[in-house]
Amino acid sequence: MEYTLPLSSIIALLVPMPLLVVFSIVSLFRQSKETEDKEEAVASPPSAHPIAEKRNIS
Amino acid sequence: MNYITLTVFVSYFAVLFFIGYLAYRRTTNVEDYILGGRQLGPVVGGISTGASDMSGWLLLGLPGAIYLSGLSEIWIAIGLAIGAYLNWQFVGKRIRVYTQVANNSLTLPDFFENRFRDKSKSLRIIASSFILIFFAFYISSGLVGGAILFEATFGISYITALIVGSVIIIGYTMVGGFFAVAWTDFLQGSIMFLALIIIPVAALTTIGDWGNSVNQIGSISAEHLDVFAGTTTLGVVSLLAWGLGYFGQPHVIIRFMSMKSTKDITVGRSIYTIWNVAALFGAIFTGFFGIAYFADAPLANPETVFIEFAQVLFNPWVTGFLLVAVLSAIMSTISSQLLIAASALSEDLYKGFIRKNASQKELMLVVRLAVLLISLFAIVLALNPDSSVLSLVAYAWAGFGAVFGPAIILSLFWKKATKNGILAGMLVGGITVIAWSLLSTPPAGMGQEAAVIPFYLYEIVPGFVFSWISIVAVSLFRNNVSQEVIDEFNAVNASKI
Repeated sequence: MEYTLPLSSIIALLVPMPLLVVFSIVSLFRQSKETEDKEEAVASPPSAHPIAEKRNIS
Repeated sequence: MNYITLTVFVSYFAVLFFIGYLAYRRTTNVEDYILGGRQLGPVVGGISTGASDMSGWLLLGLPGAIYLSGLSEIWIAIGLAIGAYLNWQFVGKRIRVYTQVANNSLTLPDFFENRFRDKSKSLRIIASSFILIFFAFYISSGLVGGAILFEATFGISYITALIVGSVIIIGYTMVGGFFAVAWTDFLQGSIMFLALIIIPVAALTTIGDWGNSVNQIGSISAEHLDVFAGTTTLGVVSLLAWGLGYFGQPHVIIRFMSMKSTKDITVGRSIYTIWNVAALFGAIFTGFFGIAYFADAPLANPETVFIEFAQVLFNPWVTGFLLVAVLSAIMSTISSQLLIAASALSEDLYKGFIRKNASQKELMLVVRLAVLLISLFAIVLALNPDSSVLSLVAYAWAGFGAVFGPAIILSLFWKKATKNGILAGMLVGGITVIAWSLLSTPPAGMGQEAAVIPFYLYEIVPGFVFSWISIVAVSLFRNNVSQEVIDEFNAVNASKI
C-alpha cells in the first residue's frame, strides 16, 4: 500500500506558516516603496507644487 | 571525551566571551546595559529575538514530539508562529513609541507605572515580582537543560557541567549587558537556523526522497501523517493558544523597546518571521524524518532525535557545530531572561524604592550584582534537577501570557484602561493560570474526567480571557483617567507609527 499525506496535513503545512512569510515580505516591499515615495517628495517638493511653481515663475 | 567536539565548544565559548568584552566597551550607562541604548538594528533585532524566545524546546522538544506522535503536534508550531507574528505586528511599534513617550521607560514595570502615573507603585511591585519569580524558575530550568547536555556530551559530572555552563552564561551577560546578550543571541540564532536546515536536508537525502519518506512513515503508522489524528477541538485550540503567550513575554517585548526605530521593527519582523518559520519547519521535519530513519532502532528518548541525527549523519566537526546549536538555543534564552530579571531587581526595585537618585555608576554596579545574585539563586535551584520546585516552570509561559498579555495590549490601545484595571487583570491572570492548571490535573493514575475541571484546556486560554475581562470591567467601573494620561495616549496616537 502506498501512503501519501492527507489533504488536511498538506494544507496545515503549506498555508498558515508560509502565508506569514508572504505577509512579511509584502509589508517589507510596501515599506520600501513608501520610503522611496517620501524620498522623492522630499527631493522635489516646491517645484512639484503648482502654486509654488507659479510663485517661482512670477 | 571527544576532543574535536571539545575544540568546537571551546572555540564557541571564546567567541561568546569576546563578544561580551566588545559589548562591555560599548556600554556606558544603564540604558545601554538594559536596552542597548535603543540602538538595535533590524537584522540583529529580528534574529536575536528568535533565538531568545526559542529555547532548547525548538531543537529537542518539538522534534521529539513530532517523532513520537507525528504531524498532529504541528499545531503548537502554527500557534507560536501566528502569535509571534501578531505580536510584532501590533505590539512592536506601539510599545517602542509608548515606552519612550512615557518618561523613557526602560522596563515593563517601569512602563506600567509611568503609563498610569501610579504613585502607589503597586503596578511596579506586582509586575516585577511576577518577572522575578517566573524567570528564576525559567532560568534554573534552562541551566538544568544545558548541564544535562554538557554531562552527556563530555561525560563530566552534572555539578561540574552546571557550574561550567553557568559561569559562561553569567560571564558574558554580567559584563556586556544587553549588547552582549543581543549580539550573542544573533550568533546563536544563526547557528540554530543553519543546524535546523542542515539536519532535515541531510536526513531526507539519506532516506531517499519525499515520497519514499512519507511512505515509510505511513507504513509505520498512518496516524503519523494526519494532523488531526488523536486530537480534539479543545486539544487543537490549546496547542494554537500557545501563541497568546507571546503578548506577555518580557524578554520578547524588551526587544521591541530596544529597536532603533519603528521602521526597523517592520524589517525586523520580516527577518524574524522568515527565521522563525524556517526554524520551526526544520524542527518539524527533523522529527518527521526521524520516524523513518530510526524505524529499526527506535529512540528510547524521543527528545534526542536531533542529537542522534547530529551524531550518525555527520563528521565530528559538524557534529560539534550541531551540538553547539542545541547549547545556543538554551543559552540564548537564559541570558535574555537573566538580564530582564536583573533589571527588575535593580531598576524596578532598587532604584524604584531604595535609591531613587542613584548615580549611573551605582546602578551599573547594582544591575551587574543583580545578574550574579539571580544566577546564584537559579544555580542553587538547579543543583537538584529532580526537584519538584522546577516543575513550576510549566506555569511560566502561560503565566507571563496571562499576567502581562492583556495588560500590555490594553495599556497600549485602550484609552480607558486604568491602573486598578491593569492591577486586577495581572492578578486575575496569574491566579487563573495556577488555579486552572491545578484544578484540571486529575489525581495520579486517573483519567481527565476525575479532575475538578473534567476537560483539558491549556490554562493560558482562561487566564488570558479572565484577565482581559477583569481589566475592562474594573476600568469601566471606576474610570478616573487623568487628563495628563489621556494627553499622552493621544500623543502616541498622533505619532506616525
